[in-house]
Amino acid sequence: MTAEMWDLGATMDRHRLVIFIAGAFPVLAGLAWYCGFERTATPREAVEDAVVAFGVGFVTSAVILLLLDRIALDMRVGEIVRRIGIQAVPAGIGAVVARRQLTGGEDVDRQERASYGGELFLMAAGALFIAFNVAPTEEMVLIASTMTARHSVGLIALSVLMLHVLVYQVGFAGQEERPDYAGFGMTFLHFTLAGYGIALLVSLAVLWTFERTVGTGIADLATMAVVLGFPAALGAAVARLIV
Amino acid sequence: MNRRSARRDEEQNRRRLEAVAAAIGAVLAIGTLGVIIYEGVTSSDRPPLVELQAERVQAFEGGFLVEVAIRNAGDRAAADLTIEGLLNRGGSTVETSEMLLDYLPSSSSRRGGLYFRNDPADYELVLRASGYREP
Repeated sequence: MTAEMWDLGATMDRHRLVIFIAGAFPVLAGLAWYCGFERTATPREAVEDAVVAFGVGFVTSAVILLLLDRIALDMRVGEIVRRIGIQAVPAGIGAVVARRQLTGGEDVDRQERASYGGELFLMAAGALFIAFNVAPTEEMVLIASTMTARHSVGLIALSVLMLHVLVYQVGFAGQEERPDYAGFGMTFLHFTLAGYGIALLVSLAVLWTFERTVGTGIADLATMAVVLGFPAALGAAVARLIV
Repeated sequence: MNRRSARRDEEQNRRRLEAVAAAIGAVLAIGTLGVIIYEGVTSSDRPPLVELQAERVQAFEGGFLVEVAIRNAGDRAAADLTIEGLLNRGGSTVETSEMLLDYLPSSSSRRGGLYFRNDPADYELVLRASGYREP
C-alpha cells in the first residue's frame, strides 16, 4: 500500500494491467490447490476458489482504499476500478494463504500434493507476493542505480545463502525434509539454485509489469533484478515453509 | 428433523454460499478487466490536455489564495505537472505563483491553490500549465 502502488493503478499501461490481473488467476488457482482456504478437491474448485479470493481481495481493497481516502466517489469509474483492481491481486493472494497462516494446520494430503513442480510453483508464488510489494517503489531504482558489479555479486551470494539456509538448515515448522537420495550438491542445485532462478524471473516479470524496464539498459535491469531478487528469494523460501 | 437431513441442509447452505461468493468474484473480476479494456479501446490516446479554472479567491493575512480546479481532458496521465498563475496588468506581469501536481490521471480532476501577495481582483489573472513528464 505505497503511493507508487495506487498511482500505478491509475496511470499504468492498459495492456500490462490487464495481463497482470488476468495472470493473477492461475496463481490464485494454484495457491488454492496447494494451500487453499477450503477443502479443494478438484481443479474446478481451485478455479472457483481463485475467483472467490479475487472477489474477497477486491472488496477488502475497496473498503480500505475508501477509508484511507485513496479513492473518492467523484473520481472517474475507470480510475476507481484500476486502483482497486491492482490492489485486489495481493489482497487475493493474502486471502488464499490466510487460512494456512492463521491456523497453522498440518494437512497431510496437501503436503503430498506438493510435488517438485508444485514446490517450484509455491516458491514462485511466495517470491511474487513479496516482490510485488516492493517492486513499485522508487527505492528499487535508486538502490540499483548506485550499486557496482561488486555489490551485485555480494548480494547474489547473500540471496542464495539465505535461501539455502532458510529452507534446509534452520528448524522452522513445516521445514522440508532433505530427501535421502539427495546430497548437499543435489539439494543445492535442485532447490536453492532453482529457487533463486525463480526469484530472479519473478523479479523481472514484476519489474516489467510496473514499467521499470522501459528504457532501462540491460546492465541496470540486471542490477534491479538482483536487488528485487533478494526479498523475492526470501519470499520463495518462506512460502515453502508456510505450505 | 433428524440428524441426517440437518447435515444435508448445512451442506446445501454451504454450496449456495459458495456459488454466491464465486458469482460475486466472477462479476468483479470480469467487470474490472472489462472497464480497463473498454477505456483503452474507447480512448483515442491524446496527450494530457490540462484545463484550468480559478474557482474562488480568499483573502487572508499573508495575501490572497486562488483555488484552482485542474482537469485533464486528454487520454494519458501527466506526472509532475507544473501550474503557473500570473497577475498581469497592461502587458506586464506583476506577480507569478506556481504549484506542482505529482499525478493527474486522464479524464480526472484535482484541486490546488496559488498564493499571491497582490489582490487578483485588481489584475488580470492568467492560469497556465507549463509542463509535465510521462509517468
